[in-house]
Amino acid sequence: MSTESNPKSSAAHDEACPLGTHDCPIYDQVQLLKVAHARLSQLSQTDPLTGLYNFRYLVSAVEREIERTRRTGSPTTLVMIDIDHFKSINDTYGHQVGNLALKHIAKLLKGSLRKIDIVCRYGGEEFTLILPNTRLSGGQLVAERMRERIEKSELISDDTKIALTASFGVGTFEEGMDLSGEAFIHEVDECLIRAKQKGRNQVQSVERKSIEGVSRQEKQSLNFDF
Amino acid sequence: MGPNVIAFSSGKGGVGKTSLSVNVASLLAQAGTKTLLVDGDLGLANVDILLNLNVETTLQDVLEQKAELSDSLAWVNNNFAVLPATSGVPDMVNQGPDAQKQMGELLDQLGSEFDMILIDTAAGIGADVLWFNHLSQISTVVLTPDPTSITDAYALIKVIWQEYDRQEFHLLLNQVQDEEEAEKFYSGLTKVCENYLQFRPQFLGHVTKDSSVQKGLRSKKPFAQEFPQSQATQDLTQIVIRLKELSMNQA
Repeated sequence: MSTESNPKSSAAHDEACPLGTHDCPIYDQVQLLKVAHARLSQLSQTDPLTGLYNFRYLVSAVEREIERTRRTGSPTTLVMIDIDHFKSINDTYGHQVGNLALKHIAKLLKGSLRKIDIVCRYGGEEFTLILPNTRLSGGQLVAERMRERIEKSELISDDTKIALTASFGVGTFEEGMDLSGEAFIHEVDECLIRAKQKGRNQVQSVERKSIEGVSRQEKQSLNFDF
Repeated sequence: MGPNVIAFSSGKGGVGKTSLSVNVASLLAQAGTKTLLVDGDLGLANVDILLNLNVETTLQDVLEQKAELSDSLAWVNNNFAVLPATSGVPDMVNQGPDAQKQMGELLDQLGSEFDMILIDTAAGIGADVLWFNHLSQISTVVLTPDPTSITDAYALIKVIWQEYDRQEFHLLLNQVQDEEEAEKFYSGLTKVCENYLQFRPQFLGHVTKDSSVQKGLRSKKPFAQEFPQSQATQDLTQIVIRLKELSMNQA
């Protein structure tokens, strides 16, 4: 389709401004709007306390990543993290210290992942990592490493050392799976609940049975010749 | 242990699964067994069509809490009720783990009212087909001498076995020339199961290819009622006797 016949698309190009990009009042306005839009979209996607991505972003990112798995076959692993006994930290030391603990964990998580990994605050004291191109075993390694790091870390407030531990649930979305993003998150969340029930400060993963199809040999033997 | 629940599945569609389950249900009811036939094909339901039932609410309405279970049962006669399903609505939600749990609870609830519950599952090996079998005490696999039907029946057995560790399957050979042909196919499939899965399926019976089956379909009445003397009805009567024995052993 030529540009003349589609004025809508040509208007989107800077070149369409009769004055060129310099000294064009509309162009300047558009640039300002672009900056404001980027700022707003960042605000709508991040959690103000920790600076991590928020729940809304998490849901769209999970959908995007499992779609990528469906397309390319490269697995996506999800790790869900919950700080153990967070309520008692709030109750004992106050909410400000509780917030410090959240920031502390956020920093630990962010500081030890790859660039392509996505760290989100799911809500409350729960965090989620999206690890693209990662198998279950890789996700388990990451979770175990994080668990250790949190356990060994020190959160100091008013000269008091506060011990922190966290529980982890890990699951992987593989090619060919018939599971929605929401159901995938739910499945990993169930694992996290199991980690809590089994005594906290540990990693639990989604174990799926691998289903084997009908092989060529089986098909041949089924081809009866009576 | 809950009620006696029997699933009818096939892998391949068009092998007569729905027609056979409708007729088995009608023969069971006729023999005095209070029978419920659940239309387990949550996408393309047609039990109601084969029985010419006027359906207002369905299984999906019950699962979605839009209708009472008792209002959704369509009674064919005093001993025979159908729990119909909605057709033409691809509903992924109703095939997930929550639906499975809900369905299990529904079956428990229905078990106090019926002696026998048959589930006519969808074709294919979708999650709902697998868990309907898991929720049943007896898994019946319907197949015909058509090579694709045999492969699909085997695939279904293999998947249910892997997913739910079930090793007991009852084969129903449909549209065969005679018992001899049915047994040939049965022993062929049994050999493959023994070789690759290390267990043997059971032989439930056969139904001879019979024009009365087609006539029954068109008249929208069970052929077993319309043509009680037909070969297909006689074959099916044997199958009903075996199913009753099986369910007695289960109880």
